[in-house]
Amino acid sequence: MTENNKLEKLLIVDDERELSELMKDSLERSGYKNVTAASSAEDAVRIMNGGMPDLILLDVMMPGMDGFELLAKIRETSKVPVIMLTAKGEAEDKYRGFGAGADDYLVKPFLMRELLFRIEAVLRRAYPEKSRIVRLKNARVDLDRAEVLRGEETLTLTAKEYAIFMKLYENSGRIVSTPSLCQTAVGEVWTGYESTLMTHIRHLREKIEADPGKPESLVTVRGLGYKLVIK
Amino acid sequence: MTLIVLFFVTNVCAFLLFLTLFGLSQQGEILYDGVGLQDVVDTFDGTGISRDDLTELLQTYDSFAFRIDAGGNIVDQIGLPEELNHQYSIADVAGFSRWYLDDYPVKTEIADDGSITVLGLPEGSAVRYNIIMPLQNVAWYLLLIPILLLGSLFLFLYLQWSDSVKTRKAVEPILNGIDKLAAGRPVNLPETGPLAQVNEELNEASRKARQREDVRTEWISEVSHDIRTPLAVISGCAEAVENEDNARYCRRIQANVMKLRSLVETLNLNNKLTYGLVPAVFKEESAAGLFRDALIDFINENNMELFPMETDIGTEAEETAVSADRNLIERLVSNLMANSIVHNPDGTRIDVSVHSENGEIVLKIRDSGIGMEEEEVEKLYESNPENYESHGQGLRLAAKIVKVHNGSIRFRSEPGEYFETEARIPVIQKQAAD
Repeated sequence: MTENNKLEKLLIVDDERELSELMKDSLERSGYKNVTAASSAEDAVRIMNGGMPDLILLDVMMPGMDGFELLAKIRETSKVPVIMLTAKGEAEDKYRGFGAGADDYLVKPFLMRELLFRIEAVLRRAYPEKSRIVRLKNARVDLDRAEVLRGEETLTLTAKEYAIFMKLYENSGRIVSTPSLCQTAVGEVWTGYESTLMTHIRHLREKIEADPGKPESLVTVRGLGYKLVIK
Repeated sequence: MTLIVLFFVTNVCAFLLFLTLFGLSQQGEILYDGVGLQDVVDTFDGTGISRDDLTELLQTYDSFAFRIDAGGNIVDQIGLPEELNHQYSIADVAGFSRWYLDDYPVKTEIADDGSITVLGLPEGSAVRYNIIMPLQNVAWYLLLIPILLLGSLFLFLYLQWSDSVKTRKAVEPILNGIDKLAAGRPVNLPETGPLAQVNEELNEASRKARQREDVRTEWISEVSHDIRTPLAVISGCAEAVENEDNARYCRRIQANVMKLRSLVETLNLNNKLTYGLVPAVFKEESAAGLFRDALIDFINENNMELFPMETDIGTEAEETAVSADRNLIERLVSNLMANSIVHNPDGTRIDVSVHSENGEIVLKIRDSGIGMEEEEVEKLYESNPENYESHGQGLRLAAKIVKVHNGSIRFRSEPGEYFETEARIPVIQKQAAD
């Protein structure tokens, strides 16, 4: 995780004080200095009335108004990204969460690094306009200008390369399957695109890797897909 | 069958008995207390029982006896009513020998010398009926008897058959209901018909069993919920204090937290699947995509850095479709993968392959870990919840999920060498492309 201070305002809504304090701690140590914790849905409503956060971590099971009810209430007025935290982990809960407009879903107990990955991915998807420079092992990528900076050199990404890179970046540290990358590049009907995708990946590697034959940032996970490793 | 034979035998016996009785009274030899016409004849002849004894006997029964000679004159009598004490013409004799003598039922015996001995019974004490019918008709009667017998036999068989059909119709749903009850599935029988009460009781038993299961499932669900939050705290703390010196211990805490989480989820889902409480939602899915996504999910959510993995998804599997519940397949893959990483030391190699083969999609997950003894492997196929051991729950749930998909599963192992699971799920046969 980068040590830079992050300015996003996060709101944790969970009646388990111990866990919400722990999450607050972890998030703060990862650079999120603007984290508030609410111990009930009612409490959260009061906090949101004082200003909408940039992202909400919402526990499902709480006394009084539960997470789903609060999510429905939030969605009446706001599109703020919400990650549901549940202790149930059952399929119905998962679909109910997504159906009600959750952006992601985490089952307790979860690893804090998993939580951080999800928060970053959701934030990147929700606020793509924020200026950002991605630091890789052998290059930096300026997402606003779709440019790769390597020492004195500046290389431009094509539209497809950029789309593929963005998809990997939003899910950095995690495997993205080949079909889902193909879908990103050409849409729903992607069958037969795999070889073209490999060409794009090769070109991308030529731009961001020191040795495209031994990729360190854009790595292949054999048989499954690709993964972007951020420095 | 026994009943039919019994019925037949009873019928024949009854018929024979009737004939025998009928035959006896036809002869009419024995009327009372072993005394009959022959005794009267003998007494009149002076050879049988004494005249006094006979007189007493006849008096006891209001009976009488007399003898007429060939000319119709009374030659001897005992207790003869006054109005009958007269000479008998041939016409009289012809009448009473066949019918009644002035309303007295009588029996007659003709001796060689032409004299006639008559035994009379009280008025109205017996019915006398002489059957006269053409021989032809008798033949018909004789034919009719077996036909009637056969007819009643068929009627009986039909009733027996229709009864058994009705019984089977009524009993079959009950048997099914009992099977369902035993398997823990809901029973809802129509509460009508002759066995309505049995159905009602079964429905009630099912409702009660269901209630108990609901309570238990709810309880397990709550316990699993209550366990998860402290686990999240433990896991988070382990992450928070992790540094270079204690990384090994912190990772171990986290790994065990994930193990407990997997156990709780398995327990929860296993219970629900056993009692049919989570209806599987089947959709047509690309086999390769389905298993790839499940694998990626598992790898992304678990720390797999220390386990070298090789994945081989056949290109033919990309084109193969299966009917599957995505969530259950995710759980299947995650349980099989978790089994390989939880029980084995770091560095254990894991091979995963997905191939389409003979109309089935074959998922193989093999680790080069500590393996399992043969008898332990055998226990993994145990599906009776009562015989569960806590060990191997995840693999048993995997087997159950494969079964829900109409597939089959095999576990193989060589202790110290490997453990392998092979799950086969039928593919959807594609129509010829048009």
